[in-house]
Amino acid sequence: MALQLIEIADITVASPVTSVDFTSIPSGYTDLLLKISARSSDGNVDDGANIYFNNNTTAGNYSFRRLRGTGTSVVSDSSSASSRWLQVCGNTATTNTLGNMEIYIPNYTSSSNKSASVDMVSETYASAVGCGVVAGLWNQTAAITSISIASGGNFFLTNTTATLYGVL
Amino acid sequence: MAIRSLKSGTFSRSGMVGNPVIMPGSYDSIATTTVGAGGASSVTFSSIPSTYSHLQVRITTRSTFGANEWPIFVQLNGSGTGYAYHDLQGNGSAVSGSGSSSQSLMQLGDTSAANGTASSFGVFIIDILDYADTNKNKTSRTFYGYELNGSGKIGMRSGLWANTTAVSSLSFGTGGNFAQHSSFALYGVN
Repeated sequence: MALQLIEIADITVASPVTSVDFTSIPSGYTDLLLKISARSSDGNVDDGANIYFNNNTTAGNYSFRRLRGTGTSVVSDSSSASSRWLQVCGNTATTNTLGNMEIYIPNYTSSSNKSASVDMVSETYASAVGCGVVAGLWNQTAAITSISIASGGNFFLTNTTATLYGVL
Repeated sequence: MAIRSLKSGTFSRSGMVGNPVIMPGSYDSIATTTVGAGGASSVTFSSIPSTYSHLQVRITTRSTFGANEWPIFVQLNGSGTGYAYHDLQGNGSAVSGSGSSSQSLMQLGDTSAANGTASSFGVFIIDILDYADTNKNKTSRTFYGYELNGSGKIGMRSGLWANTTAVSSLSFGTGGNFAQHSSFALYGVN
């Protein structure tokens, strides 16, 4: 059967929120895919954001490896205790401009630790801003039943959208 | 034949034994174009319906420009102003990042061209989220790459069209023509 992409839930932020949350995610799919268009209240051109699975906010359970272009150079970094995998536009990016991000979570109901890939861009009408890719790990074996995208210390602004798909 | 519930993920018995299960997917083909003999100076998807949440374009292409590689680009709604891009790329031995604004078109990345290995095509996957949302400037996310058995490139690129108008057409171009057998596929994602 051909690959099937099926919308599970769609969220549009109507007024600033600290997180965007998907709960009661059904177990009947093979993988999960999240498409996010987001802008935060942070006072920079771009801003980091956290991802949490099953309301687990213990930093030590998350790690990542990242490759990122800054507009002028390339940097690679990592952390063994951080869920701050994500990048969105901050509130000094060009007005009405939001980041564009995709998170792929394969085999989200398996009894293994959960890996995810992220590709993300934030834009502004100037030369220096970032795009990048992330390999992330949540070192827990529980099936994923909820996902929270949290703007650590800031707010996701109006018109931020997030769509969760199940992949068959 | 069992039917799987899209909400609960559980299976149940079908009362229509022998009939195929039809799943209402969220990923639809809107249009496809394959370049014929003689090439094409541009490929345009027009009258794009506004009923989807997001767009994705999948391209395999080659430029007839006289070089090993050459960029391809897109203009949204025929506009020639207000574009920026930012790039992250590797060529097999080094990585680099770059960016530019005040562009007349949205640069998507490089593909193989006339002096590169014959019959070798580059690949692009382009995502434009909330393309019909008139509250937002339009931001693209592109993966691209090409391989010429000795040289090549892989990259990721962001693109900005600083305009909140809903996207109703996408016009792709390159230096020279798109070579025969280049193909362009536009998908709507609900």
